[in-house]
Amino acid sequence: MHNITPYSSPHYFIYLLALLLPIIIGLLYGKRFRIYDFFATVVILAITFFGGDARQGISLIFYILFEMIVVFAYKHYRKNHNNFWVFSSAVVLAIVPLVFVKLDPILKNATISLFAFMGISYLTFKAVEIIMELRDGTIKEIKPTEFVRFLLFFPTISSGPIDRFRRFQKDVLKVPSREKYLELLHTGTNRLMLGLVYKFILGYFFGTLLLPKVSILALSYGDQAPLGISWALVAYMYTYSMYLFFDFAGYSLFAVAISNFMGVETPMNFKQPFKSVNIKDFWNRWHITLSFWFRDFIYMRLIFMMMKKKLIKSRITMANIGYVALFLIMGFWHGVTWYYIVYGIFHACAMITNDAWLRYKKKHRQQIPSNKFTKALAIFITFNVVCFSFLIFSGFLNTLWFS
Amino acid sequence: MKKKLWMIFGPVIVAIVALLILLWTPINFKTVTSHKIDQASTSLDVRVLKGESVKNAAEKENYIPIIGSSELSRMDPFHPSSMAQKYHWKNKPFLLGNPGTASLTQTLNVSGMSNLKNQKAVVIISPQWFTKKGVPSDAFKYFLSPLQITGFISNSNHGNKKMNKYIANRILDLDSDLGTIETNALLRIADGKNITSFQRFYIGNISRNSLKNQDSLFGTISLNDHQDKINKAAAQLPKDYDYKDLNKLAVKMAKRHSRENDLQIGDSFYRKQLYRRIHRYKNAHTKVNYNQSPEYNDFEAMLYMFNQNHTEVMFVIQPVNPKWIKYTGMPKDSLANFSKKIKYQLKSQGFNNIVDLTHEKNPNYIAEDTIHMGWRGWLILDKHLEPYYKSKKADPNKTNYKMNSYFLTKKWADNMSF
Repeated sequence: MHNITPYSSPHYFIYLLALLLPIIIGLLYGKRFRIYDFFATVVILAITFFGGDARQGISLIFYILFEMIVVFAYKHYRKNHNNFWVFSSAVVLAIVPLVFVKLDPILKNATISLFAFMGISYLTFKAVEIIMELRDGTIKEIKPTEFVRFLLFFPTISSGPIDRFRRFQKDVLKVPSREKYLELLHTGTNRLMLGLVYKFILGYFFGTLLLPKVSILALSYGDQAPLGISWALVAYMYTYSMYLFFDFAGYSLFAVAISNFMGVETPMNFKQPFKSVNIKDFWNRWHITLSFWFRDFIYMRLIFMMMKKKLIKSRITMANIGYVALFLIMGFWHGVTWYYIVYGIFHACAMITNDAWLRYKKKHRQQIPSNKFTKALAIFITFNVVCFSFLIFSGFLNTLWFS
Repeated sequence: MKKKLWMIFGPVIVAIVALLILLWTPINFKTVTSHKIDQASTSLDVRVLKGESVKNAAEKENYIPIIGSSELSRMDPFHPSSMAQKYHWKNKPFLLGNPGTASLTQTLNVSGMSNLKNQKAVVIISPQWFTKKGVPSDAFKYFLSPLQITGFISNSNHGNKKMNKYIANRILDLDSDLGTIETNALLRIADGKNITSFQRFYIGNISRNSLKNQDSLFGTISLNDHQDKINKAAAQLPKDYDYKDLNKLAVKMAKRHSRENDLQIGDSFYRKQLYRRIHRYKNAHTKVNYNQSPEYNDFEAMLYMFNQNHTEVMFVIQPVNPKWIKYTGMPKDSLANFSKKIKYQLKSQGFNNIVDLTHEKNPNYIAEDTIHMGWRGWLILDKHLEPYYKSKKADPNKTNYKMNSYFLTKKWADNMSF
């Protein structure tokens, strides 16, 4: 047996749907079988993490235990105290395993990534969210079983979407009415089918059939112009962008669809991102749950701190510092390589430029036209800026220039 | 509720049923037409190599396969496909090989060509396959056909035990992520055991039937098409075949196409592949040695397949551009030694039809670039092919092979004195 990556093979879907059947029937008749849910989760996690090499599974277990200690220790502390430094240490402790995993590849022969398993990032986002909300007081009560159920919710375990604890609780504590559940089954089925088209037809077309060909072409022209720029490289940029979108959006649709079958309305991750009229709009439509997580738990908190401490007067400067911090962290989170970090800086610059433009536009509202054509132009520019950022993100330039 | 559920899941269920029918029904989808076969014979599409339906259909028509590697894509006017078209050979070449295909890939390819029984084939051997490490795992995996694996496994209970054992071991060595059931079956074959009846049922029926249907449904959709290229190439040839005239024409064309360097390398190849890094190759091959390689064992496995099918085979040992040999400082005897060793392996087992192009008296323009046949190289080969292509039936007197399992051992692979 092998570990099966979620939603990657027909086998996974067969196992998944077989396991889901009792849950679906239960929900149709207004029941949640808690013990069966637990059983199904264990089976799916076993297929995913203990299929062949069990190291991932063992890492997962230790990781969960570690996060539980951090979260519940902080929860206990928070009952009577609220010190900023204790809070910060809890957050740092919670992300330490993830940091180790991300640093591991750049240290030669190191094995500090004790807790390496697929999906560690997404579990960490959820754990940090809980610590933050415990401090805010928006989460007051959380039981260990609830914590584990939230983290290990299997439809979203490997790559999100990143749900929020209170929203998730609202869904799992109640049973939807039959009418409502039938509707969920309906949208879920549609999403599942759309996901199949996205990931296994369009994603396959762009990623498996087209990308290797374009890549060979772009590399073969690599010697002929400064920086290896060629039309083939431009083709690579668009092909990779399409692949990235359809592959990830397809996966996200599966995750949301399976959540729906379980009576949980996991938030959507994509909202026609290539229709964005500017870069800010783009981040509200692309990998939405991640960008909202970064907005709520990094950007807003940073801005709030700067305002409270009165470190900086100008609101514009404050926002810009926030963008740089947010996208730098996002870059490092993707991985400690130059191209992820440059990708982060590129997006920070795009956001800052976009804000400046919007301010300019507001001031000169009379002179600047706004109609169908300007909107089309805006979409065109945003699309190309985004695709260029994905070219950086792809790491292809690294191959083209340095190897 | 029932109606609503049906409205939701009905279409999905219908789609799944339709898919199952498409994948497992024993209906023969007649997608392979003679036009498709003709297109496939020069398309060099990986799906042709990895599939079975087109090749086996071609064996029923007037095609004789040429099994090789990257040289097959050098489609100048003297390429066998162009010559066969222009001078109306009785049988036409069916090209099987891509950059990176070596003996083991071709062994499985041949094992999937069930209609090759008692027929003829041509194999073009590249000395460059026979490196110290043998075929790279990535290249092998890329060309590994799940369909041919299922065929090999299902046929493993008959056929030569030693060969089956060897092939199973090699596949497991080079590709560790086959399906669980396939891997277990190969492990049993590698141990010299018969596969279990469950493995036979699952691999031989369930998975093979579905892969077969996929092959006949999708194996020939929008194939690469090189027919235009062949037409253009053939149009440059004179109306009547005359070896001397053609030889002159080949030299003339080769000269015209290799003006930008003095290594007799075609300009477009030189510009694309070599121009920027030519200096790196200066004296880079002084230690090259094609005499110790696991490839000799892989090659033997392919011979066993031919023996099993009573296939008559013409072997061609591909030359290397002599100017390139000099430039890269390749030792003089490395090709001679290679040719000696491979010929010993062939002849001692009764494979006597060998065309050795490594020591032609006049090697000018024998290669189109560095290590690939072209121009005069093709022309010389065509002289041997044309009579061979007169009939496609194997001569039973020429398929009395005497297989020797010594050639499957590491001892032979490393042997330097023969």
